[in-house]
Amino acid sequence: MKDVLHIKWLLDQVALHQSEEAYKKLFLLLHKPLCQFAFGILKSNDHAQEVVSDVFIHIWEKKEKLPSIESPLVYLYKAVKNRALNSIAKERRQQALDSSEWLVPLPSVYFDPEKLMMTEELMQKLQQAIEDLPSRCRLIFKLVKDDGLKYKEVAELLQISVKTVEAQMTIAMRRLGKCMQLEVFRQEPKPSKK
Amino acid sequence: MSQEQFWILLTRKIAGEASPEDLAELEKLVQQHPEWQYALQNLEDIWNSHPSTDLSEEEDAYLIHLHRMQEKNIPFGNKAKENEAAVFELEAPRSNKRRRLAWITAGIVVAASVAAIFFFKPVNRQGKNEIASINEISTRLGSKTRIQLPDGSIVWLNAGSKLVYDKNFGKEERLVTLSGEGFFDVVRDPSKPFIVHTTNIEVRVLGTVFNVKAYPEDKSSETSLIHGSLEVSIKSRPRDKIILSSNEKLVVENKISSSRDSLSEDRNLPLMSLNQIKHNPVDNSVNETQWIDNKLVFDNEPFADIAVKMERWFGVEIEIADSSLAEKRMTGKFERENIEQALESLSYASTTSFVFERKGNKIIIHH
Repeated sequence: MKDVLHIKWLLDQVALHQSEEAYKKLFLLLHKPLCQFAFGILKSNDHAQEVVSDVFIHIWEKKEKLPSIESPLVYLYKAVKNRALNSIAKERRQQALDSSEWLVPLPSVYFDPEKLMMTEELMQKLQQAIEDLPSRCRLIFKLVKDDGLKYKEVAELLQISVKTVEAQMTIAMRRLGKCMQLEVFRQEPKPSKK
Repeated sequence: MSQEQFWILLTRKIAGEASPEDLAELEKLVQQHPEWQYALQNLEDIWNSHPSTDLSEEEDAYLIHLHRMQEKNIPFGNKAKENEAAVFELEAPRSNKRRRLAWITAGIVVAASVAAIFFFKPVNRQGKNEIASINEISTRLGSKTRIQLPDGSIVWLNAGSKLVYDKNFGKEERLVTLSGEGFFDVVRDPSKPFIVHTTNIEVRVLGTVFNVKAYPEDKSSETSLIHGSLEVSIKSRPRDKIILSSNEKLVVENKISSSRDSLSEDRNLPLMSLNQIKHNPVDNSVNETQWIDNKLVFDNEPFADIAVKMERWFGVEIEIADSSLAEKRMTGKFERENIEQALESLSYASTTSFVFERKGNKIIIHH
């Protein structure tokens, strides 16, 4: 969803032309997913917004360095992660370091059932499946699907292996897929058991 | 086991992580288990649909953010560096917030086609030791890249293109040679003009944003200017310098057509035409620069020309087996589609439907 070329382009405009228009567009584009990510760590909306705002201030202040950033998404998510962890009081930090505890909100209604020609029942099942994903699985799923990070980038951000990212993504997809398979069987006159 | 593998491959495919081998293996698995096709299709649909974005909340957050910046005394919104920023105001008199930034800042679009891949006069004159210091960047078919030049200028290179500059770049002038298509964001420096060479045109600017298209095999050259001013000279007409104004596009014929009226005194000169650039009413985008945003756009173009664009974009070979089909004009816009999906929707939308078959990297289109 997030077009990395477009984000790089906007960063270039900020860096080379001090473009405030581009800066605003970047903010509007990335503020929400970054806040959701920060919320996962901080468990507080206000706190998350403050951290993301600080990261954007940092970007403006260091704008001349922006063109040298290789992967802007990883850079931004890492900056949010580091700031969020640093802003947590020391005694709580150890606990907060465990990314399997980071709970991100996943919008439950992603899809327009009419457009996708799905039954109400199937849609509810899919929503349930998404809600039931373990928190780390859900975090990884969101970072890849909604936020546009690559497997490698998620691995770097969460300091886990690419294999783990892949395994979690596969679990999420399979759970969603299982909903469909049941639906396929349901449409047949009798459950297909050979 | 194969089901386990199916889920891994399916997930890779949908997440855009699959290699060509993965895709081939997945296809094989689905052929063996046609019942899995349904889940694959639906999961792809779910993946590609996104919650509608309501920006008003984000706009509020932005105001709060600006307020925080003010409290921390971070300079923002000062008029000191408004040279470039003024572009926004000039370009956006109706201040449409949804306007795409790329089009607002896009200063100049130049498109030129060349007859040969290389044109390298300055280097040839300077002897062999100079040749060693040439920088050459090229893109394969189906891919794009972004380059930062030594002066900080940014160039996006479209598929199948090549950009060359030597170590004298930036000494007195900033000279690059282009084959293919590039979108330039040039750092302003009036003392060192930025010059783009192609075989049949030369574009000269001081500092702005422009796009040069120079594919050797194309019929014509296009020079489109969205904002600012720029000077084009055509090598076969050295006396003429053409100054473009905002929203103008210059099309220069690449090869001199032999069928032209031989009585005409200008028969050895290329045909030119000056056109206006069209802004799409919805988002103010301009077709000439959509490729930077990963969009492949055709506007009422002959299928033969579309096929050439698709070949570059998707890195395939396309043959239209039917000449009446090749002349058929079509309109379309593609973003995430693969070549098959794009052709299917073209066929669907067109008044003359067509079929296509794929053999390896080659696609044959017929009635």
